[in-house]
Amino acid sequence: MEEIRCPMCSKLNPAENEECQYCNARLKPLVASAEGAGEQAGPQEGEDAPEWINRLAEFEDHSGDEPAKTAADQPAPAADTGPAEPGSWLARLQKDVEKYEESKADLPAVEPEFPASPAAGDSLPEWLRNVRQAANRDLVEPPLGVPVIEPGSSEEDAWLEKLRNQKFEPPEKPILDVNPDAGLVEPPAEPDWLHAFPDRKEESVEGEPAASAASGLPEWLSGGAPSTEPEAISDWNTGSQPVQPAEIPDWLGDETPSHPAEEQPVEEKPALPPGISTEPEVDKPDWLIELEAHAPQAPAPFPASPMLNFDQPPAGEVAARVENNFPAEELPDWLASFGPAASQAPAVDGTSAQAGDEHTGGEAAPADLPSWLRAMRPIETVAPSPAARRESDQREEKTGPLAGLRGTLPAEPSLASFQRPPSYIARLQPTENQERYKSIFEELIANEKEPQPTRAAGLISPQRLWRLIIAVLLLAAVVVPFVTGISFLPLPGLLPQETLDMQTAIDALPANAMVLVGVEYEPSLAGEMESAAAGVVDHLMKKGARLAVISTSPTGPALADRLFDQVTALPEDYHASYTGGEKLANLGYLAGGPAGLMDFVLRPQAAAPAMLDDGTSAWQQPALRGVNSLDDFSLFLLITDDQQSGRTWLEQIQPRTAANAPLLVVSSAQAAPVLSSYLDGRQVDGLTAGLAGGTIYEQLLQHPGPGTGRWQAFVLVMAVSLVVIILGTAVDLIMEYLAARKANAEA
Amino acid sequence: MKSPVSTAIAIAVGIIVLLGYFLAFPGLDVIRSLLLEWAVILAAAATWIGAVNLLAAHGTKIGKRQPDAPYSLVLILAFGITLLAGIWDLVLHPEFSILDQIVRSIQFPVEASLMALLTVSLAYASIRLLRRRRNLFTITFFISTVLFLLMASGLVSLIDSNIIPPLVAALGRLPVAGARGILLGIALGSLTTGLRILTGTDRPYGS
Amino acid sequence: MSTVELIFAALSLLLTILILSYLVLGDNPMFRFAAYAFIGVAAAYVVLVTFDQVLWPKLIQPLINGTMERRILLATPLLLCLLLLAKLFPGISRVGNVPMAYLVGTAAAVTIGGALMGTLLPQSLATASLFDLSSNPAVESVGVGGVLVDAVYILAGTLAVLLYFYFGTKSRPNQPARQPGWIEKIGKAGQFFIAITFGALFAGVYTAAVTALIERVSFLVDFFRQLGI
Repeated sequence: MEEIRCPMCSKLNPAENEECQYCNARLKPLVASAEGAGEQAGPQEGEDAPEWINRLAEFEDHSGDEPAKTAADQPAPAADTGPAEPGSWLARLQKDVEKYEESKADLPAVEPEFPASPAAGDSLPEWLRNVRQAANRDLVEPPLGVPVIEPGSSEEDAWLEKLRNQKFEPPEKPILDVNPDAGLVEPPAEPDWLHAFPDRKEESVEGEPAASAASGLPEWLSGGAPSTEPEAISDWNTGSQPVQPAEIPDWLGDETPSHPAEEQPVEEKPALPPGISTEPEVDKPDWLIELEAHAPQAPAPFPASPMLNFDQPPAGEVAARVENNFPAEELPDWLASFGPAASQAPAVDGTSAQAGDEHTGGEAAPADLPSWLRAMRPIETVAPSPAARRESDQREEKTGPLAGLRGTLPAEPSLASFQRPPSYIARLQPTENQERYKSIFEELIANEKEPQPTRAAGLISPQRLWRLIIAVLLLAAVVVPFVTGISFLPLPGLLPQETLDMQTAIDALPANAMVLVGVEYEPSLAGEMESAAAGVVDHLMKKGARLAVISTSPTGPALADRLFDQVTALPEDYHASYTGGEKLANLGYLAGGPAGLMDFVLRPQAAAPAMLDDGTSAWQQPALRGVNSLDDFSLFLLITDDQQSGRTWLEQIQPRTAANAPLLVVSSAQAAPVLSSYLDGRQVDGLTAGLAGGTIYEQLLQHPGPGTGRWQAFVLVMAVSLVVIILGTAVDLIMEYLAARKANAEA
Repeated sequence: MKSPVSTAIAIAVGIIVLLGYFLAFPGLDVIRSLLLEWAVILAAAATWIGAVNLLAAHGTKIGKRQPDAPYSLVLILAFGITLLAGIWDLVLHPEFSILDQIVRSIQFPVEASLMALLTVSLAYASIRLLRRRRNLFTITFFISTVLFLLMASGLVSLIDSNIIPPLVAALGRLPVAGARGILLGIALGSLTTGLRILTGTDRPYGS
Repeated sequence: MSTVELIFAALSLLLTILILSYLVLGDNPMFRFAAYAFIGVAAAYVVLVTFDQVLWPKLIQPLINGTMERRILLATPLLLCLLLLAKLFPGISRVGNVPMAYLVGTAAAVTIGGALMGTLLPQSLATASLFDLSSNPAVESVGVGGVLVDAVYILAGTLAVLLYFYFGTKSRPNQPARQPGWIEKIGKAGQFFIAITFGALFAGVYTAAVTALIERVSFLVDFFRQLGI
């Protein structure tokens, strides 16, 4: 099956399709391209052609007196028709104006803000006067659709009056679809103010556009009536919104000139199509000045604007028709550019939205546009540089229905040009700290060496050997005194002041004083604590104090029994009272730690409801008779192996004790350095630490106890330990030095 | 979403107990005592929870046939035997207290032996101390250790000199500065932590 | 020594030897057997003591034999104890947060009061009172100079140690957070005082361990002597 390739999406479609089945673009453009000129000859007879084309066709057939006919009545434009007389077409334009008036009633009434008929010559804007003047010249022919009026004549006022009453709508189809190569310049973008002209809707154009459409000339040029639909003039070039008839510039509507530009003298300038601003030099907008600076020498009245109007005849045909109808020497400059001579003229930017402004070309002063109109012009922002303009004008369209045309907008926006996307190199920007961390990390990795082959483990590792040696030495030091019974080492001779204070405090106890004993040590250090506390407990017993034992450790009550059993193992007379519960009461375990102690401080009997084996309360024993609160205790003795439990007692019990009730501490050697801090603030009145302190206290009492029995072994073991530690450190350091030296030598 | 009930209870109870340290009137003391008594009971119950959790953990080891499962079985058996013996003791109250013997004959020897093992380990650690790291802190620590071991050993008393007692007394004051700083630091930390709990900032009880 | 006492003594000996085997054999099955058995026994002992001396006399017995007022008051701790049981089951452990919150709140308040009234204020006053030459008994023995040196040393050491434990830092742009310079320098001096104290503590721990060793060896010797060995 025969297939056609879509000019837009380049996909294959069946030949009989008129539109692409993928993108809905026309497969057979209405306006034949240069290549397809043979296939598409433009609108056929009987088809509706744009009015302005039909008007152009009239020039061939009419001598100016015949009224314009509808498009259907207009014969096809002939290629070889003789040139029309110079003024004849103006007359025809005038007749068209009359027709507009007749059909005015059919169009929606839009009242343009036209001022009263201005006084001749002094109230019209300068450009309009110039237009009139140009219209009367032989070489300058006004645009189609504008009646020719002699300046100062009554016809001038009438014409102007008619203009006011008419609503000019921009044609919805472009006026010209010209091929720049053929020398024709595309019609200018009809300015927005041009919409203020009488609404051609009201004058119902019927059938006129055929000829003008066939000829390729704008409707106004072909004398056609305005279309029934409002035409978007600006769609020719930019596709911007059409200006509503209500937005008629002030200069056109006011009889008395309100704009300074209107007061400027009329200059003899070449006639310009309507809509061309002829402002004096001083009021020219920047964009206009720039355009004038780059304007072609042969001013092109119509900018090359891209048009995609499939209703227009091929550009070549239009160019030929215009050339045949309008001899170059008789045509105004702007119209002459449609002919072959126009091919010599430099192309004008077809993408400019404000193509009308390019008409100035330096030949006429542009009109002073109102600010609102000036603001609507985006030419300052989108107008490319003249070089870019020229470059874009030279660009020939390769695809689509506009293939072969120059100065067209690209079918594919430049943004869609497929090019290699820019590659962004993601380079990290590390900070100084990160660089430092990186170097440290690299150093760590670099220092990681290959795994060394592991040496076969010996029977005894060095660590194990060291441990074995230390254990043997220490055990020997312990066993020898016990086995041999030697006692060559003297007892401790230094008496710490805190130990003496303890002795003093206990000595000051009255007879039968109530003493609260806190047993706060664990079985692991029971041996040391028994050695340290035995003498103190014995001293209390010797003083006849009643002892109440309490503990926040579950094993405390059992360890307290063991302590008192050990103390009373030495037969003394005063020990007898402490075996039957007469002076000794074990109140048991206090759960909750500090909370339990605080509870005991507030309510001793409720906090420690100890029961005896016979079911009676321990508080009923003689040892605790008369004790109801903490104030009933005369002395507090804390036996602890841990600085934590010692702190708890000192924080919860001590602040609530009576001022004259001392608190004494028997501490393990490991807790003594911390608990001795409480001596300065008199929170602790006496301190005995470790086996040495117990031995010293036993010495003070001159009552040997477990401390004294273990002193020899203790001193010997400590001495051996010191030697082992000092010598062992020295040997270890020497071995390390030798090993390092050996390693350096090998390296 | 965190439960506000637990937080409210912690804050309310804490504030009432804390106020008793600074204010003294009978009503507050009664409420405070009641709250403290309940806390003691709860602490005892928490000890039971811990013991049950211990049994559950070792029971799981036995159930999963882990490598230490035989030792876990020994643990559970020892627990059971001790529990039965203790119940026997508490109910019948024989003359020979089994609970006391458990402490004296099992707990005490084992813990004391473990402490005795520490002697060798500490001595070995002292020997290797300077090899691991040598800086001002470790050297000062080593010298201080040797010095106080010497002072605690009683060997100093063998030196017959009048300067020894004041010297020993002065050397005995050296650790007090650091100890007091440590005590104050601990107290400040405890104070801060307690206040954070009473203000609801910290909720270690989970909510 | 009676038979029962002999049996328990032998048990004690056995356990001691099993634990001390670590010195020669390292971590061996006998050592681990003794350690695991000890843990089981200790846990059971705690359960028994807790029940006998806390739960029974303070909770269960009053609920059974106590007055109605006492029972009503004990309903709350009983409920809290039951809620605490939920901690054993992961699915409902959140219920146990209430009694835990109660315990934590009480402990926090007791800790605050004790730290403030028992350590912070008294220890601060004690540091200041060292400069009170009129009431310091050490003036007679060491003289005013000695007392002042001691006081300055204690004060400087205390402050230096406190600053050593100050971990606040200043953050600056593009710089790691660091302590202020003067705090860092004084903190380094605090390390010196801490090293001295830690040395004393280490010596104390070693001394305690030596004493425990002596006690164990003494027990062994006494046991074998009693057996006539």
